Amino acid sequence: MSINHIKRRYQKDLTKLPKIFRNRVVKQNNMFTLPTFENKLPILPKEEYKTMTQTGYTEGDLVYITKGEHKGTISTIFRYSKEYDGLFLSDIIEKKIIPKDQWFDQQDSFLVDYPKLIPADSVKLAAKDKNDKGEDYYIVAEEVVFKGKYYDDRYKKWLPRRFVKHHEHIEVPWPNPPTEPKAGELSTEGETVFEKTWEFQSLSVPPFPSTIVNELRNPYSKHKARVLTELQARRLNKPTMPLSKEQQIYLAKKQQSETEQPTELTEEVQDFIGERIANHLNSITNPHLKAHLDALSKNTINH
Amino acid sequence: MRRFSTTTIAQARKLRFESLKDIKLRAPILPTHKNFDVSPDHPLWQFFPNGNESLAYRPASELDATSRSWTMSELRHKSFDDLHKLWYVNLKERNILAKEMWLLKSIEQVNMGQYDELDAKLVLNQKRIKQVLLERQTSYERVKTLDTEVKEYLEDFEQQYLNANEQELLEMNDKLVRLQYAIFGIQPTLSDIQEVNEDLVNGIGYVGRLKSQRYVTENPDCGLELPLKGIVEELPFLFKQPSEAVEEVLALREQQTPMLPKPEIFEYLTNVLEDLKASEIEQDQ
Amino acid sequence: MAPMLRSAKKMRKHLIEQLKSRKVEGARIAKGFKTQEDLISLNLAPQVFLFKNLFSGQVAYSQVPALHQDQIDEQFTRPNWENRKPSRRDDLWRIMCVANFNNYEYAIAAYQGLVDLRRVRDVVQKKEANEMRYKNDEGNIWYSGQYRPIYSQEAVADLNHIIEEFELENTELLWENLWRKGDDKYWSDLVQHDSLPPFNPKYQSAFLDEIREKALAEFQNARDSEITETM
Repeated sequence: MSINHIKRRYQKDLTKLPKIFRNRVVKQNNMFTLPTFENKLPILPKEEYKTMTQTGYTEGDLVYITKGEHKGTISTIFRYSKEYDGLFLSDIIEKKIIPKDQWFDQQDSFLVDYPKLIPADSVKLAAKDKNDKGEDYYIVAEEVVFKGKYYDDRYKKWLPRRFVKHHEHIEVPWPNPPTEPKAGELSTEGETVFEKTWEFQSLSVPPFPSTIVNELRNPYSKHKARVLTELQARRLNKPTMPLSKEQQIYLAKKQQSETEQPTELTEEVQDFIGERIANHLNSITNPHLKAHLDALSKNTINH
Repeated sequence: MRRFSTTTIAQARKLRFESLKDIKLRAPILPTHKNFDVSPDHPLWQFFPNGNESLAYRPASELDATSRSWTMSELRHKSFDDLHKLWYVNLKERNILAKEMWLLKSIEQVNMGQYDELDAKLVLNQKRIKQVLLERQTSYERVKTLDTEVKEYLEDFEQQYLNANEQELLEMNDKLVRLQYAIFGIQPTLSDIQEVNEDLVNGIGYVGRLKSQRYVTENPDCGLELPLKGIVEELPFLFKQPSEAVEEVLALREQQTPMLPKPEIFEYLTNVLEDLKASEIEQDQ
Repeated sequence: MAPMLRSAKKMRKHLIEQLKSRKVEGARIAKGFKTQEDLISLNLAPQVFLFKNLFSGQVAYSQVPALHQDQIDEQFTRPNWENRKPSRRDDLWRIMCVANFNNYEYAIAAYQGLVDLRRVRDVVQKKEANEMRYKNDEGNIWYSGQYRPIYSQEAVADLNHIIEEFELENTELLWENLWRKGDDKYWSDLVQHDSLPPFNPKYQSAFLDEIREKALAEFQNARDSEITETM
């Protein structure tokens, strides 16, 4: 990237500092500036910049000031400052004192008219219309709603239509842009731009020579999900230690013992067990114990 | 021509300063660039906005503030060559701006806003060009994974081709030429084929099979036994009429030419295509 | 710091001995003023060499294609913060112009004249000289670091001065860069300008020696042809 982009990394980004530090830095910056040149409004971070359709108004629109010194005035927007979310109106001017070494040519007074920066909160969209008698009257919209889309040839863009909220039959059309877009030195003519020189025609024709893919795409990008091939995975993971003889024997035995499932008793064994129990029971003389055992034998086990 | 003289110099000639106090010192002679020519085509002039005739830098008011960057939709219409050229045009403009910004920094000019803005627009242009090209590349790469879909389509087309009647056959042949290019990248004019790759081989195989099958179903007495063996038998069907191609294949079979092993296919194809191109050039002449 | 090897210590001792044995003050051939006989016996051509200092922009004159400390001592008297005595470092003195004269008398006169004019600018007419120099905002000679471009411009003016003053016809000035010559209006018929052939500054001394030889050969040829003419 260019040097200016790199230099920005070392500059203090006011929008990212916490409020306390920000105020301090602003104070330090304003130490040697005259009070008339101090900026009272805070700077917005880039993510919070508002576009035409987010603010609801643009250059050339009428606005009504709802707060502050100039409350009640209707004026045209001269410029919208997206960094400060403020407006410069064509009628709201303040006088600033300028020291002599900063005078421009043909200046003869210390006081100079400067447009005043008005915060966007204290401003509402206004519109002018003619009533039945032909007299001008103004409408101020509390809020603005966007509906529908149309192609505006003046702006060369697709724009939504503006309506006053809760009174959606009232449309406030977009104003004429202040300057007609002129072709600059670096502009390309419309005809050349719309000339179609590429058409997708074949699945097997690459869009550009395959040798330059790595110039457009970083093959070592750390932001991509890195997938290892099997070989790479094997190389990067430690190998398993082969089992020693003792371990093998142990494991084989364990496996064997696991596979040894309990077998059913054979008839011989059953008879043997039965005989022994019968002999024991028959040898019991105590009548109470016998009665207890009888009662027990009638119990059933509920599985 | 220089002539040296060693004749004695007249005594009146003064060769020493007499009184240092009375010497009238001369003002320093400033060097000038007019003493040597710099070609107006010198490549370093490309760092200046007007080349030979430009000043050291353009004031901020002279910069182009009204133009906007190219949009993605506008760039998507353009071929790779156009985008490549546009990239370098942008780069050269950015170089000029970077030189001006560096110069202004050294003379401690603080208001670089306009230059930064214009540079940002140019950077956006370059980013968008890169994005368009990579979009095309990723879609090209993804298509490679759609094997089944392409296969289905080719099978459908095969059915249609084989079952088409005489009237439809002309249409189908035109369609086949377009399909060749669309799916296998085989150019309609064979002398335009630049690269010999797997797609080309597959395409030749497909076309050969298709045409030979149709011919055999129409003329069962031709004597051709399908399937065709290898690229050598499939290739004639690409640029010849089916009847001629069949004759050639039969001739090849009589000669009992062995099937070409895979590693030699590409070489064979490049040679054949070169011969084709050479013969076309001769024909033109 | 790794301990020094024995061999390194010995080398260092040897170097210090060498340095103490003889003080290096530059090319010994450049020491002292050369008369016509000296120049001829040393195989030198009727030339004056102008060297510019890359660090400070000051110019030193020499009859010989090299510099010696004595020449610097002679030419840079009355040093001050704006006109410091430059170092004799060989790598900082780059050839600016080689002046080939008609004969040895002219060459010696030119050298003497240049040295005299240097004295005038530094000592005798210090104020007048300073007035003619380009100043910066603070009223001091314009500088960038320690570099002052005005000195080389003054040297060119002085060269012009002596050629005009002494009417040294048939001089040839070989410039390292013709840009330094300045506008043609300052120069008269007496001088022919040319540029030095491109050279590698690493081998400047060898290159200047070649220039000397070439000029000497030309001088001899011209003298011989003159002699045959007169005869």
